[in-house]
Amino acid sequence: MTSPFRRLSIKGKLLGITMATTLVAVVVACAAFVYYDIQSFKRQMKEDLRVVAQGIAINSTPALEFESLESAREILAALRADPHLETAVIFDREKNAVSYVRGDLPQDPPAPPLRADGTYFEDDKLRIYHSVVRAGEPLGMVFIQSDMEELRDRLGTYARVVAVVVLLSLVTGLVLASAL
Amino acid sequence: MAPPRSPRPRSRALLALVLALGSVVPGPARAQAMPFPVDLQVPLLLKILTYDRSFEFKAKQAVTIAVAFDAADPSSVAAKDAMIKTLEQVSGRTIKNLPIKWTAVEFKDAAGFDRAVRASRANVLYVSPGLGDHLAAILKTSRSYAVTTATGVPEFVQRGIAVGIGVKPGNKPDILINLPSSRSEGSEFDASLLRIATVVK
Repeated sequence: MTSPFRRLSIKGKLLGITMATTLVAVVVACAAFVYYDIQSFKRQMKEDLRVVAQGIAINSTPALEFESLESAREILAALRADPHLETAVIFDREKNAVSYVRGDLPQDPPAPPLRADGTYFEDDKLRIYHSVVRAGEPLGMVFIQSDMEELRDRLGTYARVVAVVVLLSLVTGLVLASAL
Repeated sequence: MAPPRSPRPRSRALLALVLALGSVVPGPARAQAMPFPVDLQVPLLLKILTYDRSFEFKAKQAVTIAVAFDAADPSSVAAKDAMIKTLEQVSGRTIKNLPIKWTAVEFKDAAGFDRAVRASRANVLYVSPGLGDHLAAILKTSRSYAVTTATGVPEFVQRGIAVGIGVKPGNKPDILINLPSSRSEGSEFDASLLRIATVVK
């Protein structure tokens, strides 16, 4: 049994090869671009969350230093302004905690386990642990968890853009190759 | 229903007497109590000073704490002694990498006190209990030489001392900041500290 490609005329074969080449080139180019952009976006997400955590740490330093953890609660309340932040917790030295939880989530989640400073992409979340230190003295820790909606939105947009670009490239390639 | 009765003449006379007595009772007899002992105040006050953004500029080479007291008032002398003893215990500590020095300054009269504070080159003035009647003179001196005033008597903060330690529910220490006074003395406390402090405006 002969393949459909073999049954094509020379012109048809050339057209098919050109289209396949165009498709592969465009898809590879788009994939590389999307990969680079997603990595940049993830880095930016980490950096943005780090800045938020640092701000919370700076503002909660006196509350932790003067053992007035409850007064740190209103600092966390300011996080309402960012709809992607799901939970935030400030721990003091004795691991007592005050927390903020986004309104649409269960309001009494278990406290997250303490970990080393860093940002972690895991369980479809972005999490950051940031120590609160003053004059070399550890006072506590800030934990913030963000959802990945922004990244998902971005991926969705890219999928649509890539589909349109691939389609346009194929149509353009077909028109140009047919005119040869 | 009968209208409320107005105070009888005798009651009014008693009320007037009480009000008159209240206005002539000397300051030290009024509330000048410290809710927390000096050894608890000192670490808190030293930490509070680190939140003064102007402090390094003011202190330059050392944190010099002048402990003001009234030799005629036993509670004032006791507070001064406790303060000096506590400062001796923390003598190895620094504030923003500056060593801590201290001196006692007796308040006898305004002019003498002014001279003593200037000579001490103090940048922090701890006001002991018993000096309630002399706060105006003390504040004049502190503002002249940009000396940050501090106390363990909450009432003094209401009356113009810049920094104090009060008490809040749960018998916990409360940071008291008299904002206009602190600014008059050249202090600029960090907003993050003011957020957790009780601020007198």
